Amino acid sequence: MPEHAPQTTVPRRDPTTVMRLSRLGSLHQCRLSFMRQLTRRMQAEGWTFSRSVFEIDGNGVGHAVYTAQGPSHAYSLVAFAHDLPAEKRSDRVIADAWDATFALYDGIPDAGDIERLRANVPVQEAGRISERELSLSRANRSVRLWEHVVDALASGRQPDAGMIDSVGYLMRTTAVYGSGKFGAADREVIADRPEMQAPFQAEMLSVYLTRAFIRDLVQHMAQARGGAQTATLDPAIARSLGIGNSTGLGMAPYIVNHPVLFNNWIMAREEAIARVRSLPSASADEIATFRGLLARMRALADSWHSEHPIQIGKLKMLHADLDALTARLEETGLAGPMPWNALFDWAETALSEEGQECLASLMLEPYPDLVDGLGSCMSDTNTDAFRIDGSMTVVQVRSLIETHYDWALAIDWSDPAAQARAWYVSEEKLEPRLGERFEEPVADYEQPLAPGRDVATLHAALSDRPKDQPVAAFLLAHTGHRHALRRVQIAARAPYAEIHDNTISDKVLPIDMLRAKLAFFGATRFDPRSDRWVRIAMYQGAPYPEELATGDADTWVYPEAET
Amino acid sequence: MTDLSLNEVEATAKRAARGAGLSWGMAEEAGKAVRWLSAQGLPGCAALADLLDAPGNAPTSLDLLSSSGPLCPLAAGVALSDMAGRLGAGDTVLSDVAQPLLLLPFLQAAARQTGRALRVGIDGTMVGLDGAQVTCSDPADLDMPHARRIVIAPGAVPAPPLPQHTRAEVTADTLERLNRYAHRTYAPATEASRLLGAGAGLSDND
Repeated sequence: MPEHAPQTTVPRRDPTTVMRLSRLGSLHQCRLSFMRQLTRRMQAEGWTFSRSVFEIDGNGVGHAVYTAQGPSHAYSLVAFAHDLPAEKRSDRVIADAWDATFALYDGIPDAGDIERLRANVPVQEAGRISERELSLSRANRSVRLWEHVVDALASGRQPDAGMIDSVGYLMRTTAVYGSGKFGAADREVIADRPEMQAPFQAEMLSVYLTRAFIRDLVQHMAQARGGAQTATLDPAIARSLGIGNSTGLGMAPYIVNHPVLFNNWIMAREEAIARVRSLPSASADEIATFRGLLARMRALADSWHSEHPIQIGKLKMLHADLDALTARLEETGLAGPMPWNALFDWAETALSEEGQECLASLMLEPYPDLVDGLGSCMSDTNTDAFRIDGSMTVVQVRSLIETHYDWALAIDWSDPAAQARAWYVSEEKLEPRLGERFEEPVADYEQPLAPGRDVATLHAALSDRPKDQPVAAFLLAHTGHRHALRRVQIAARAPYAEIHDNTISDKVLPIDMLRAKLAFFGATRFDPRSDRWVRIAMYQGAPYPEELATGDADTWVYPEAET
Repeated sequence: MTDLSLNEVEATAKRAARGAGLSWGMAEEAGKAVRWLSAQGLPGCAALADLLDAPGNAPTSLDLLSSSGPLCPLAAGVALSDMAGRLGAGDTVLSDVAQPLLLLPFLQAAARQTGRALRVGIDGTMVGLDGAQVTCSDPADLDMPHARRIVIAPGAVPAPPLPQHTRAEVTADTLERLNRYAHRTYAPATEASRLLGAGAGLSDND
């Protein structure tokens, strides 16, 4: 944290509370979310946007280039539109063709770049991109909504509001690959640029420009069908369309594999919450901002649909929580001393985890000066965290484990249910999967994604070693414990690095891990489609590039409440 | 030649090391080490592929002397880096080391950790590691399969620092050998795992 950090009298919440899977699976977007950091910055810095190429035929096949120009660098989305047979349309990673494919180019591409990308981007994982590209992605149409919107516009009508609301987007992206994947530039190449310093800014920019392309494409397809009578999509309806995303298991291991980075995300949000809870009072303006956004949050909850039983239950609780929160405000207001802390203390006893995390995020809204600067603390620049201090003694390591992994030591790992699952990587698509350890032949291929079990095993293995022996001597002969020891030393310095739950139990819900990461991206309307993949909305309500300069670049995430 | 990002280098090296039988923790070290070498423009991928084809022996104690046969540079490297505080007070001598290039990332990490620059002699080729930069009068000489004697001492090696690289050019042969090892970490697909493991659920063609 920066040295000028405000004094907090309320401490950050304990990792024991924060780092449980059920709570991580209840996180909401907030001021620090990566999409909002990006749109705020682009507005503040006066970024300009242009569509330099749009060569798409009447069948929807061709390419387009959208360029975002910042203060020192330009970034261009190179989009390829395809005519995809319906039977090939799948959001899953096992797909090999898509409605549209994209690369984010670092700068402004020339004709040679376009031809190079045309040969590689449409085949996604089967192609190669270069250090000039920052991301690789694809999207599929929402068949229902796409056809409806094209048909309505071509007939000279606006699309039906109910249809728009029930789906929320015209296309869903699936994987958005960045950071050196498939030949793209490594993060280190761009990390020093101020606009790329926060996590995932290139990927978020790519999706932002993709949404504009998709709006233009649907208009183009309607025009091709309807000719002169075609209606222009109402800008307000267009703004209510986000871009969908389907996220599968591939994302879940990320937060386990990047413990320092994940710590920094959680720590930034927890610090922001602590700062707001520590405020002695709230001004009338701040209270008005909060009340206004609470009403809009209720509108967001109303527009959040899911068919998944778990999420249906959680949404029911969220609705009840928002009612209770509104009633509480009516009763007690925010006039007393340390009003946010009082409200949050109440919420911890009265609301579900969905409601508590929703409130935690909402409370930050009136305080950009206290919160937004923390956005720059969310990347991981500490490469030395990887190094093991082998001079630490056996007894010191055991003590660290007892302090930071008491939750893992409390699990009976000999119970088959505690180890029912195993994370592995499949041969056919090289993507992470979750298997049944005792029913499928996957245990030999297990990835190191069960830190709780592995640290508990390390703790036991150290029990008969000489207390004062440096742990390096132990590791020399027992290299199988090296990854677990590294995590212990990281967790000792980074309190929010580790999920305090069993990631391989028979009850683990990978969607909880997905939601934690996606909430930091700024996603809304989580709609699990099973226990291991989820659909979300991105940029729903956000101004389009040509609207950004004068639009709401920050609280667009909350729909306007009905008055 | 394939042009790889350094992330790809690290991921490939880590999987290859794991596929060759190293523990996950050691495979992570191999990935970081090869990435660092590649960023210095040194042939880390080739050195790792050669090492996995002809592995060295792990030291049996922290003095790194009681090994029989060539020492594994990764095992010796982590032992030196784990006990970085011991390095640089006087001379540390290693005999009979396989793929000595792979030792350098660990010594650089130790130098960064302790703030003490190291001067490393590998059969007469001198390398300076100050925690940030690498100096070497003839980096091409570092591409050797084996070192008879390595002397690690405090001090510097006056020479221009090696330029930093953001990509690695890897030969088809090296990449193929690493990928063959890496492939051993992937579970063969079955129809059941395809549906179950990837997460069957509601239709996504809507």
